[in-house]
Amino acid sequence: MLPIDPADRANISALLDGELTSQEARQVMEAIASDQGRQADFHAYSLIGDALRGQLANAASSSFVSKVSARLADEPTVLAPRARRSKVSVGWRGAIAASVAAVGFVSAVVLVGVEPLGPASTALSTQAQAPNQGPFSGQGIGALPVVTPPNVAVLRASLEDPYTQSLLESHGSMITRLRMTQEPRP
Amino acid sequence: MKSRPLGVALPLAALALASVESAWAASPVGHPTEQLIRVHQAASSLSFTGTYVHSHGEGLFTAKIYQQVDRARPTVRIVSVDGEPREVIRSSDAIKTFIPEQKMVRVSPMVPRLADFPALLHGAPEEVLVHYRLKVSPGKRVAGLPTDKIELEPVDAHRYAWRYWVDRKTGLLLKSQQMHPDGRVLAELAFTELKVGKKVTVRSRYEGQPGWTQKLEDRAPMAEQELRGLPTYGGFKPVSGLRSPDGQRRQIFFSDGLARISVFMEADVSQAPHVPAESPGGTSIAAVRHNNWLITAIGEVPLPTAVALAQKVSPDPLP
Repeated sequence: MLPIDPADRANISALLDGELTSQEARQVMEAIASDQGRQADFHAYSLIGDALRGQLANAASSSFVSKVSARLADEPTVLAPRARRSKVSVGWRGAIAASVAAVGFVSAVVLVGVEPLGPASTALSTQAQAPNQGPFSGQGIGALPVVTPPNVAVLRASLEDPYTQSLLESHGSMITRLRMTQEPRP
Repeated sequence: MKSRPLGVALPLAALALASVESAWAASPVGHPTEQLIRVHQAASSLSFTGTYVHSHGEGLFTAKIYQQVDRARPTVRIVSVDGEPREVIRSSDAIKTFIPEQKMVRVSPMVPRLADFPALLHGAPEEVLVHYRLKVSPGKRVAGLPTDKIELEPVDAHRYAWRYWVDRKTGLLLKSQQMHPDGRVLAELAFTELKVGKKVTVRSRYEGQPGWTQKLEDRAPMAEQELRGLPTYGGFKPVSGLRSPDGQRRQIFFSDGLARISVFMEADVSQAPHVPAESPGGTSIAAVRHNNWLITAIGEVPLPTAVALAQKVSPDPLP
């Protein structure tokens, strides 16, 4: 893998930490989208690096991360649009959409699926999975480049999904429950 | 995977003391653990009525809150002011959500050891002070009341900072803010008006009306031994949980004593149309698949923390 540019690393880190303005985030994403090397770096340093490296305690996990990272440069690029609402409705949805806008581009590639982190998982498959089709296809600020590593499925985001809503309601405080039930669910 | 005892205050007094800033010395109240305990106890021992606002970014949501404490057992009623009429009643054993246009009340079990505004602790205060540096200073008035301001700064990147404004007289939490490291307020809960000590009715206006149906949630609180095999991450430990009778749906609440993360574990979700991947305001959502299980972590924590916890929790050791 080519050495990552320190400025790119800083931008990616700031992007994932939600520290960029919407415009800055857009510029970083466009830069990533325009260059396959940055795409690999984006994945390696943001998804694996920020989320996983150093946070998986056992040796098997470290091995898993190392193998995934080592394979990244050879994997195909999968484009997955960021989950984003095109129209803000009332209640909690409006609040959430507003908060996303206020925070800026936080992170679209949050949701990854992996095989169990045991001995069996160290045998990595080589076929990247295409993301599921969802209601946000073609929407958002543009295609988010996601280099899908072996055995990791990029799952799609949807705050409109009833399953997501039920989880948020079950997690939340009492006032969150009020907000979550503001719109009838299917 | 290590097994850790639950519900036991850690012998961390020395660490707790070390993390207290000198500003505490100027506070009119005692040791910081006492301050946290005072806030927490005020939330469960005082009867009050008030209006409070929940803000997430630019969105606002207002509700009325009524709390009545009988024999040290608070019952809370909150009523939506914005949007559709809704009521939630929380007692010691259940949470009821009334949805008038559907004439339906959803009944969920009360989860032990979980705090809700204006309570704040999900664990021992000593544990909180391991993960946060505490600072107290005079605060601005909130809801017309003089306050002390409690700032809890995280000692690492696994959690956000929190600010609390506490009624100087009663210790009741009047306002809380969840802070981004750059100083932005991610979420806020604040009273706009409050009357402490007022006797209130906590019965729903819809209770007993004809034609309503009741939807009972089938999940029940998990036994502590079920939680002991679960991992910890970044100081977040399992504090309680809910499970369906067949064990195929579980919700484990993790906490560092202050912030909360729910980890949902669901078997056979291959047909789930979508799963969340977003960080709305201060709430992060992340999920992973472990074989046929979907593990989703939702919490008021930075995104990497939610991702890492979702990665770390595995259904494998569960019965």
